[in-house]
Amino acid sequence: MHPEISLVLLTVLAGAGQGIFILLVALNSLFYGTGAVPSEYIVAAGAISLLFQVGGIITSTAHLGNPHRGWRAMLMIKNSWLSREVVTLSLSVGITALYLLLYYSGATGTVLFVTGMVGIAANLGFYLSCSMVYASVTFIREWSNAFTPLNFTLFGITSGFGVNLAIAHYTHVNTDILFGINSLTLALALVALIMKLLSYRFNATAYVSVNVKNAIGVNDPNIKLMDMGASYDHYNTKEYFYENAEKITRKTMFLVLTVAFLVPIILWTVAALKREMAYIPELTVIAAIAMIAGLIIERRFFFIQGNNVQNLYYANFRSTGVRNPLESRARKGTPVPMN
Amino acid sequence: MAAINRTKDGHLLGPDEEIKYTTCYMCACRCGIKVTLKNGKVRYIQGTPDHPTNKGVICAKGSSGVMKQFSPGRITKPLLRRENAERGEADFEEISWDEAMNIMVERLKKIRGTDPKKLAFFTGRDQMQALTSYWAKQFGTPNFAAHGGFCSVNMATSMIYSFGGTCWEFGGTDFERNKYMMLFGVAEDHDSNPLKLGISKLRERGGKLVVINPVRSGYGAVADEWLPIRPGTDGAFILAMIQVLLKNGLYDREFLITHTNAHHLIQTDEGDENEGMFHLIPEWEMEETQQTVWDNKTKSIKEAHTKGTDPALVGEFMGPEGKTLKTGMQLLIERVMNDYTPEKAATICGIPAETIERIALEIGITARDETISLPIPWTDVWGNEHKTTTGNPVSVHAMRGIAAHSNGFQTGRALSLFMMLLGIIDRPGGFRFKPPYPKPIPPCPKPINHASKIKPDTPLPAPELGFPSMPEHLMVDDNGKPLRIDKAFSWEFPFTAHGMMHNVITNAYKGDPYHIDTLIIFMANMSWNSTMNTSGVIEMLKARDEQGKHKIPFLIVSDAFFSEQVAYADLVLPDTTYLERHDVISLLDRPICEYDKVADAIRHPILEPKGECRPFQQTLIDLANRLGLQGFTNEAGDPLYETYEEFVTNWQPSPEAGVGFLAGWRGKDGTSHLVGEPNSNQWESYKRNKSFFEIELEDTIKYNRNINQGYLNWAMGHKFKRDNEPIIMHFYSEPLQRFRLAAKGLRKGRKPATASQRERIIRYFDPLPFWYEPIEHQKVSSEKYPFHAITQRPMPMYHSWDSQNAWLRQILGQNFLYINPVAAEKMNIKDLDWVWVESPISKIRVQVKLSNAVEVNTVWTWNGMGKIPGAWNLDENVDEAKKGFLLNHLISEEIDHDEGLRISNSDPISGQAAWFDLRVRISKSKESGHWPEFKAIKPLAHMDKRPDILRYEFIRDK
Amino acid sequence: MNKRMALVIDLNKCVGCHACATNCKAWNTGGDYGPLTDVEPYGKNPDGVWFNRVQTYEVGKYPNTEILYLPKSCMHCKDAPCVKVCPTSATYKRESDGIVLVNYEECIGCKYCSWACPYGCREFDDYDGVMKKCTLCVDRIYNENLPEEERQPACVLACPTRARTFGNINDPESEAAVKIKERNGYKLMPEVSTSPSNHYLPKQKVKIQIDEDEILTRKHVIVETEKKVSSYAEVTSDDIAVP
Ligand SMILES: Nc1nc2c(c(=O)[nH]1)N[C@H]1C(S)=C(S)[C@@H](COP(=O)(O)OP(=O)(O)OC[C@H]3O[C@@H](n4cnc5c(=O)[nH]c(N)nc54)[C@H](O)[C@@H]3O)O[C@H]1N2
Ligand SMILES: Nc1nc2c(c(=O)[nH]1)N[C@H]1C(S)=C(S)[C@@H](COP(=O)(O)OP(=O)(O)OC[C@H]3O[C@@H](n4cnc5c(=O)[nH]c(N)nc54)[C@H](O)[C@@H]3O)O[C@H]1N2
Ligand code: SF4
Ligand code: SF4
Ligand code: SF4
Ligand code: SF4
Ligand code: SF4
Ligand SMILES: [Mo]
Repeated sequence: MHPEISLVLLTVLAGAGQGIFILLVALNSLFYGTGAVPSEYIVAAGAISLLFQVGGIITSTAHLGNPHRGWRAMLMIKNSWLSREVVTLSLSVGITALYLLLYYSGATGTVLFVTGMVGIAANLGFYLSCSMVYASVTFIREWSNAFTPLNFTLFGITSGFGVNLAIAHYTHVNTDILFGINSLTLALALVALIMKLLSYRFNATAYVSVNVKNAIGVNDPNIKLMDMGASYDHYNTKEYFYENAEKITRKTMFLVLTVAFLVPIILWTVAALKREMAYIPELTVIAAIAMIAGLIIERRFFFIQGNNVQNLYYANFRSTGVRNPLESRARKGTPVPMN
Repeated sequence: MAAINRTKDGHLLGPDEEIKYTTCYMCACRCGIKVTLKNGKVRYIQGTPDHPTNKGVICAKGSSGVMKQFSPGRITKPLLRRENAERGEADFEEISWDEAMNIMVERLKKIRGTDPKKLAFFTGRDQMQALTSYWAKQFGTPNFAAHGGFCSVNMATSMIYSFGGTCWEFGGTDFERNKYMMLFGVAEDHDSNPLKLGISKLRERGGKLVVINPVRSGYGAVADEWLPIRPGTDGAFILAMIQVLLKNGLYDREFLITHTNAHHLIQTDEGDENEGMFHLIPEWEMEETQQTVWDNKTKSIKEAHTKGTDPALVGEFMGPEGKTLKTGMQLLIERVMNDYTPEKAATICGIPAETIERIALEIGITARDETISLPIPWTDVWGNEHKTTTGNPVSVHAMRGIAAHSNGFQTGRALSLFMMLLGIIDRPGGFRFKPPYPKPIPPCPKPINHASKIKPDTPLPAPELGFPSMPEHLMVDDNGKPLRIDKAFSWEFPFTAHGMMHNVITNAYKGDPYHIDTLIIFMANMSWNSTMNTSGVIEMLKARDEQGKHKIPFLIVSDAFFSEQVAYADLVLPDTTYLERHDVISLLDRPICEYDKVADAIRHPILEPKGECRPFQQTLIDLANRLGLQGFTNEAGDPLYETYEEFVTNWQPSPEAGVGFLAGWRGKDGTSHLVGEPNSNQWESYKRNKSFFEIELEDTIKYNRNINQGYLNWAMGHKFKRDNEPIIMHFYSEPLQRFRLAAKGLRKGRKPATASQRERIIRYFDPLPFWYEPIEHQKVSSEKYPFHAITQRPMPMYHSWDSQNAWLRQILGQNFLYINPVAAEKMNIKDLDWVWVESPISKIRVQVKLSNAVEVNTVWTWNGMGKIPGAWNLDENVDEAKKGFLLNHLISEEIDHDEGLRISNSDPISGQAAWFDLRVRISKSKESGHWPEFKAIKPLAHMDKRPDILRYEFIRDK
Repeated sequence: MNKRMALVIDLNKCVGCHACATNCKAWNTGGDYGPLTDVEPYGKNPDGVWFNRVQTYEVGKYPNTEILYLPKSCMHCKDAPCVKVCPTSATYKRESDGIVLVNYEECIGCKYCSWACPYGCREFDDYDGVMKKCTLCVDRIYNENLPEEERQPACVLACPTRARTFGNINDPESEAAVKIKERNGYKLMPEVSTSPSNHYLPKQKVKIQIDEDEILTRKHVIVETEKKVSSYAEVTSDDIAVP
């Protein structure tokens, strides 16, 4: 698939933003009234969460043909994961804002707790629907699997926690709590890393039952697309082909694994092992930025890896050379160098 | 309730809408189109439902007509090359039509008053050759021809010289009843939609389709069998099938005896002045009807085709004075039995012997056992009444795969004999003629044949083109030198019925046979895709003599678009498009007749001409009037016709002739058809009838038209034929033998001038078909140049004609060289690699695709795809210019001749350009991108700017 | 039963001429669901919206190679995934005749529907910012301004090999349904649960079987020519007609 940068940003930023919110609510609920989480933390984390989420929304409209009627996207909540995504995201944003407002206006712990829980429910709803937008496209095997919702959720939460950790450092959150967040984030990151590896492995062997024989209805082992009916690229070749999909696989994978997971994991590990290290706040900032940046690459790569079965009908001779998708499809998924 | 107000054909139109019927010209197929106009702009083009040609369907090109109209590549002003600009730079000064006309009139007057030959007038696929040739004839130059010579004249002549018509625009398969069809070397054909409709019918009825072609594509896709033949070897394949038919007695004896001269007695003794000529009843004079046969009943020689005889078809007989007499059939048997066995043919054509034999048997048995009998009575010219009309449901159709080789005439002859043996000509289920065919064999018109007939200020007494049947018909001077600039009808190319347009530029450049002054090119891209040796020809157009004057002094081009041809012109005349002008598709030219129908059609302007565009026909009329050409002006020199429309309605070949350009609605009141006085409302009548005219023949005269008395009488009565004589098919071709005799020195009269001419004629003018290696293959080492390189027509693109079409170019903007993976692997060539393709004259760099649908020794590409950057007002960097390519750079327009001289790369009999004889070698290239590169030309100031976005509302507003 | 309108395309007839593609474009660009924008029409990267494209496949190895042309437009799936995913309901399937359409007024241009279409049959119009696709020519087939025999999709009327049939495949009597039945019409990607309405008719080969005895029922047998010419009046050989 052609990586739509606005969607990459939306999923990563909104995901992280909501991760921030989840932790914020959790901390505020757990330590409500103890002073362990100072209000400056709440305000900063809440604001940054909002910023991430709203930023995501704004960038996402950039990919719409008609952003001015973007609101219509909420209409089909009954059927469409995309609708649900938009609704849950809007809800999340609304509740994040409400939570902050309530917090400011000195609402009771219970009110905040209930609002927070509703928010978290919306967040989880968002993770689910946002990922299901992709996972439900059954014609893209690399998307349509359990890893997609799991990873979207996990990565969103982890990155949110990571950002939160950095914020917490600067907003005088209790050291023990910091240590707790740090350990939790680290643990999540480790799981995320494993999940990512597993999903790469899955994609390497992802089997699509659709093959060119069935796509055109001819039973023969030798089928070659000679002409896609157009000499020049058009929507269907631009949207579903990424020019160097094959080339970028291994390199990008290492990049993703390193930047999104290994770097933060190392930094968080160091912090966890040596508690005073955690007082070098820059490290956590670097870790958080690395993870967000890494996830942007990861999400971009997620798009690129998506090989829609409709590619069986179009081979992009012009830019990619004969990347004959027919053969790679008939074999198994997109080759990924995992073994 | 008010009745709903519908048009006659059922449309309810909005106030701003209109429907007009005219004839398509997105290619030369001439389908009827129904154009919906909205606010005077084209909204939609579809096929005219009840049109004889396309019956409502329409092709990819025709559907895209609106984009032709809209192209920013339109030129709309007369242009004169700037004094200091070089040809090819496309640097023009805009001039007025008055200036343009004055320039032409001054120049042409001078030429006409001194030596009219110095004007050469060559036209592309125009459908007004009746006008253009007439104009040239009245001007007095023999140097006129249209595209036929480089197109498929081999098909046309070989069949016309064999059975009086051709499977081209003049005949085709009876798809209503056909059960077995062989398609030789056809990718698209002129009869684009009718052939598709027909093939569909064949599939529908479960008939078998066999495609003989080095490439499988298009029609090949729906074929039941594909025979990947080696290019240039169809002759061997067909003769081997003939061998199988003969060996197994699978031929239609009755047909041969009634329709052909296969059983006529031929004098076969060598060295005799009558060697190879028909034996005639001695006391009578030379007339075709007095040829003889051996009568089995009386065991004696009898006049051919006399009632009551039982002629022998095969045999060798002793003639009077001890001369040996054989039938043509006998000679054919002698030729094929040992020399053309399937085994021998297989080594030549690459099709396994068993396959050749099987296919021949399938055909022979289908023809024999699936005979059709229709309850249609008819009477033959000998007075025999037939209760039924019978036929054998087998057909063959062939086009440029056979034509575009230098052995194509003889291959076409082989195919003609194959058809005669099967008895499938103009009978149900087989091949059917389209009126006005069949014509006498060969047809009557003979070209002018003597230098004295070309005189200043005088029309030619005979046509520029025709059908010679003896050396005396050749267009040569007393020394045997060609009179035409293209050397058509010379000893080198005697049967050049369509001229040799492909020789014009090279010959004019070389001054061989003489220099000319002005060359008019109309509707052809002769500096690019319709020329051989494109890079060389471009240089010839630019070449100057010692005084710095162009070797071809003046080049006038009529075009509608900013083509490569325009870039090389001195004077450019902006033509209208097909939606903007009057045209006729005339019975005098290539009509739209169907097998059972006489039909013709018109175009009429449904849009205003763009800018200053003016119909070229009108320009010709204006020129004729200003030059005072006879036939266009009266004795006083006053114009007879002011406009082309007037010309069409009023012109007749002779006063009182009653025939003219259009056959429908003649007579003062428009009630008589085919023959009748001019009718001033004729155009209107056509328009009212959806722009075409048709009448159906009566059943009894639809078949066996060569010998159908009813038909022949009818044809004579309607001035299709001069007489009602039968048209006996030339199984054995005496006209060919006449040339051979002249070359052998056995015949009185004209003789070839040089030894090599003699040898060529003796070798190739065989009165019975044979296969020889295409001439270029004889000269070019197949080890050095192991591949055949050929082109195919893409269905959605018409030559360079629609380069500018925004829709079609999206479908096909780049061509590749297709090569069989078996061959590619040996050279380590992979998909999309760039390779060098080299011929003896040049090389090009192109991109390949591996294809399993091409014969192993052959490579191919789509025809006409490459462009000069900037031409057609396309962006300079489009794929068409940067990656697309022409094979033409590699094809030599001349090949070595025995005496160190060069001779046109053409069929030695018909002069057909041998496009497909090309041999090349291929090697992998490190660099990519097309080579050679050409300097970009800049769009002309007056042309529309290229839009970045094209939308219907935009078109609507324009 | 509701109607289920569909195209039935006979691959045994299709010669890959692209007429269905360009005539579709010609009709629709000026029709109710047009225009079909062309970007850079005369430039380096022309990119237009088409409702119908014809692909060329090679099947098999030389010399047993087949060419398959596959004209492909929206299949008007019964269980159209594009409809399910559309967040705005701009894409909808008509109850009455099964035609899947896009309401341009409601489409936000999120492209999601096109991801969900396994056939690559939707094309985004960048200029209008909305998704477009084959409409089965709804603006022709019910259009009472057109003569009755022309109330057919443009591609069907254009097709020069008459390879395309349009009709209600829920009506077993319809020409389209009969063809599917008689000719084993098939769907593209039958294993996915889209249940496309458009069907394709597979290629069929005509084979002729010749038996030895068929050859032997000869009409004419040629006897070897003997070179024995005795007199003006004697025949040395001839073909003998065997009844
Ligand atoms: N390699 C190779 N070369 C070939 C062939 C091949 O098979 N292989 N085929 C050959 C054959 S058979 C042919 S017929 C030729 C065809 O080649 P051409 O006869 O050159 O045909 P086009 O390329 O279509 O060019 C026709 C010119 O007519 C112009 N034109 C279009 N419409 C009009 C109009 O209404 N009025 C005027 N005045 N001009 C108009 C176009 O702009 C264009 O410049 O190509 C030949 N060239
Ligand atoms: N769409 C479209 N239609 C056209 C044209 C166009 O440009 N576009 N051009 C028009 C013109 S001017 C013409 S002349 C006609 C020509 O119509 P066609 O005769 O169909 O022309 P080509 O495409 O040259 O087809 C030649 C075919 O012969 C095959 N071939 C080559 N060599 C051999 C051989 O030795 N033996 C056999 N058996 N086959 C061989 C080639 O592979 C190719 O399939 O089409 C007309 N119609
Ligand atoms: S075949 Fe030629 S004349 Fe007929 S519709 Fe197509 S372009 Fe027009
Ligand atoms: S073919 Fe594609 S666009 Fe058409 S209905 Fe099916 S899924 Fe939707
Ligand atoms: S692009 Fe338009 S039609 Fe497609 S899913 Fe989005 S809103 Fe619906
Ligand atoms: S049915 Fe209409 S819209 Fe659909 S492909 Fe055919 S012509 Fe185009
Ligand atoms: S118009 Fe008919 S023959 Fe041509 S590509 Fe379309 S379906 Fe095939
Ligand atoms: Mo041609």
